[in-house]
Amino acid sequence: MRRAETALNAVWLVGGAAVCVHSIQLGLIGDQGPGSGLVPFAAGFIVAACGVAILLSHGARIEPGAAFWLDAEGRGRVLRLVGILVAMLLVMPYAGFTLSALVSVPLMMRAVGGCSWLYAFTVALAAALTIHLVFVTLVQTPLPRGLVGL
Amino acid sequence: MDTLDGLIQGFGVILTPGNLYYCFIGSLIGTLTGVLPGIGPLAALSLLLPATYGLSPVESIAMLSAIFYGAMYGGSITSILVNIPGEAASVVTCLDGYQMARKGRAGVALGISAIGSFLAGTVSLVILTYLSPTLAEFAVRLGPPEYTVLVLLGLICTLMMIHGSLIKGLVMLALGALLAAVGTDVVTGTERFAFGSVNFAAGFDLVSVVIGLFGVSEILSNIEETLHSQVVTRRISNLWPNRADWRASWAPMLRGTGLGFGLGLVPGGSPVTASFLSYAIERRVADKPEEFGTGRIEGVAGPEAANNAAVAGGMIPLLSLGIPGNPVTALLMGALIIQGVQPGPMFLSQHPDVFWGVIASMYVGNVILLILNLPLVGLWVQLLRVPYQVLFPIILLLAMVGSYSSNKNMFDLWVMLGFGVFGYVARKFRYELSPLVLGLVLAPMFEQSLRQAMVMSPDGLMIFINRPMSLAVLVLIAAIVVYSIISRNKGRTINEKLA
Repeated sequence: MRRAETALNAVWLVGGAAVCVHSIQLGLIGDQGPGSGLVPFAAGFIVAACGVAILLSHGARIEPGAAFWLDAEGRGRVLRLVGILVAMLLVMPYAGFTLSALVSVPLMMRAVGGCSWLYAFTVALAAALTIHLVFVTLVQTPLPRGLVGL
Repeated sequence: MDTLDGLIQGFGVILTPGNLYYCFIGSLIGTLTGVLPGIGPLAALSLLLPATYGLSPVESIAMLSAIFYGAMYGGSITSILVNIPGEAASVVTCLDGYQMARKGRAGVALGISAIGSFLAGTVSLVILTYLSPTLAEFAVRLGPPEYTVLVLLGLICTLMMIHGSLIKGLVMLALGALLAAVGTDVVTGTERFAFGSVNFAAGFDLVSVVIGLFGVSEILSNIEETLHSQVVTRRISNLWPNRADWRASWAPMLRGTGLGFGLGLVPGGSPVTASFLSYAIERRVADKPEEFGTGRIEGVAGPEAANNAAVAGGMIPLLSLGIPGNPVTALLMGALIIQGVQPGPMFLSQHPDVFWGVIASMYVGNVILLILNLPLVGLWVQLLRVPYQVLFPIILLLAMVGSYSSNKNMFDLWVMLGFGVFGYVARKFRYELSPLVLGLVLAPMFEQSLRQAMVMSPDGLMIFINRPMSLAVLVLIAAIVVYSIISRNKGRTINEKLA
């Protein structure tokens, strides 16, 4: 955890500094007062300075044994869910919202919640159809339709 | 038009079947949001914001604000019955509410919580009704320099209200300001941090950021732990408090109302802060503070009144000044702007029907919530039986609908997921998420008014000193900063002594 927090603070420091450099290129002061880069420069400077400050103070206070993940199972559930969501978003422009939901929801329930396939597919079918009915048909909310038009 | 006439006009607007329907739907969804752990009022508001695009301004704000205070009502139900806070402002209600339930007084705890919420909400609304128009009339005289320092005050107060590390809060606030800068600068037309991408040039959508930060990250945090559905077996009877309960509760309710309303007014002051502070005060003034945490009714009455009063208080800066004090009011402001209504000093004069309709809707919403909460408490509790394994994929699907529908752009879904993961990591490192949202909303307002002030100033930054109102706010900011530094150092010294 301590190493991860150190890495995060290094990101703040480097990222903040990079923002400051880019902001200077944008111009801090314009013809009529503040330029496009003034507020981002201030924000980048604060982020970088805070990164250093946390590195020097708070980072050192983290217990050496503290872990980022609660346990291996928890880590697995989180990573599996993020993986399924990434795959779902990649497929969605081609498959459409409803079809990708029909495939992804059972995967989520199975991989993260440990539900049976039958139960997961039933919930997925009910959820996807209800959302389609309520949002697409009734409220006429636009959703990705994909190549099939669903 | 005086205030009473305005309010009557507002009731005329809201008491139509269509507006009442949306007020009822908002109250229902708000209570549901409060009852179910893992989806807070902010996530619910973000999810439903796109659904309001086709509604009138009054319908949409009546529904969205009802979700906000409905969540405050609903959150206490699970806190009291199963020791699980439905949303953050009800965490403190668990301490004594659950203990009361264990002693067979669940009904009284629920009753005093709902009545306290109703009374605090109504009293705060009366103050809101009279204060908001007066403040708006005064605010018409404010110019860009005053707005610049007022927004700066909002940013400073946001920092002062942070519970944990101030430095981490400052990082989040600055990150919010940075995110707001991404896109095309509307004044100069310069692309900032877009790196040639059309998506980045359009900037980050507030709704997607909020859904990701609060909705998706909450789900990721929840599924890391094993969650079980709760089955409530406790019998709920005697919802109405007895004479002794009333005697013990009226003063905490009154104090909670005052405290919550005051904190709601301050930018950065949220119902969460209000409920925690109220509990601390009740414990301090109690004759037997050691009994807190064992089922004292004051520990339920005060915080529940405070969190509802804070909701009404938070509406004043939004309606009168156009400055949102917390992420929820920031979203409400977004909803009003989408409807073509700019909240702020001109709101009352340009759209009196909407202004008074929104205020009247809150009175009506409070009554609906009292009716929904007490008799239907058993029904709400049954919702906890829905397993989280079923709930979380549905919430994720709704989150996607909410994110996508605002701009019809797949990029927003990636933004939602990205901020979901970021929020999850930030929670792990104990970074508060609210300052990021306030930075995202307030930084562009600050930048715009600063530029306007500079354009109208022949003496550069001296304009902030030369104008009495902005000078007064600057002095106030300085006083807040100095007081905060002194009190934090004092706190540290006490901690060091105790250590």
